[in-house]
Amino acid sequence: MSQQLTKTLGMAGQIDMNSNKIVDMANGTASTDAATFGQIFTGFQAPVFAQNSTDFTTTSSSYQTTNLSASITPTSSSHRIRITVSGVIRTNGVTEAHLTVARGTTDLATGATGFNRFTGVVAATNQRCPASFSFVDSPATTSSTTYNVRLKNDDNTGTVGFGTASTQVIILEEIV
Amino acid sequence: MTHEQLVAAILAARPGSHWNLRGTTYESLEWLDAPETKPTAAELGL
Repeated sequence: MSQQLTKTLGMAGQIDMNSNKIVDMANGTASTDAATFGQIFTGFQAPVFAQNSTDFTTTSSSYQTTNLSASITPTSSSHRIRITVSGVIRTNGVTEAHLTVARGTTDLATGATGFNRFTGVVAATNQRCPASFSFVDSPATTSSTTYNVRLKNDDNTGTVGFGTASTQVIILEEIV
Repeated sequence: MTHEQLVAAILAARPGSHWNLRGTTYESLEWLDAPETKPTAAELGL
């Protein structure tokens, strides 16, 4: 026998004992209000994952886009994007490799040497170093946003690389 | 030819020049120095 076990709270919200849920609640608006499921779970998408195993090399001292990039479309302009990058950087000779990530063409690192800096100290020799970093960006948009990993040297002469026969990875995660 | 072998060939053909290499093919070589010409595939041994 079906029973209607619903208790009205004197407002739109109800305790539905058939489903063991409080239903039809309005969104909380003050810090002391209860939050609805819709307010708590705001529709984050699955993380975006991209990998690349093609080597990249440059001799430029201005940032050059490597083979590694990924795009994400935030579900809210107030959400942030956690960016994780890993790979291997290389210097050929005595030079510095600077690795960064850019949103479009905007470098997200505040320093001139990016997020990872590797100094080659031996002439005419390939020197490799694991490189990884994370960053939280606030793109303030719900449009598709592309993040690309960029590389440069410090002297406009040396040869620097990213990848070097190993897999490079970028992960983008939408967070509050 | 590996990526690093191609890098060595470019450095030998045009020392001190500016370029990007995104793989192991001639097409993956992006030339950044306007006055200096991009080496030919034959110069690079491709």
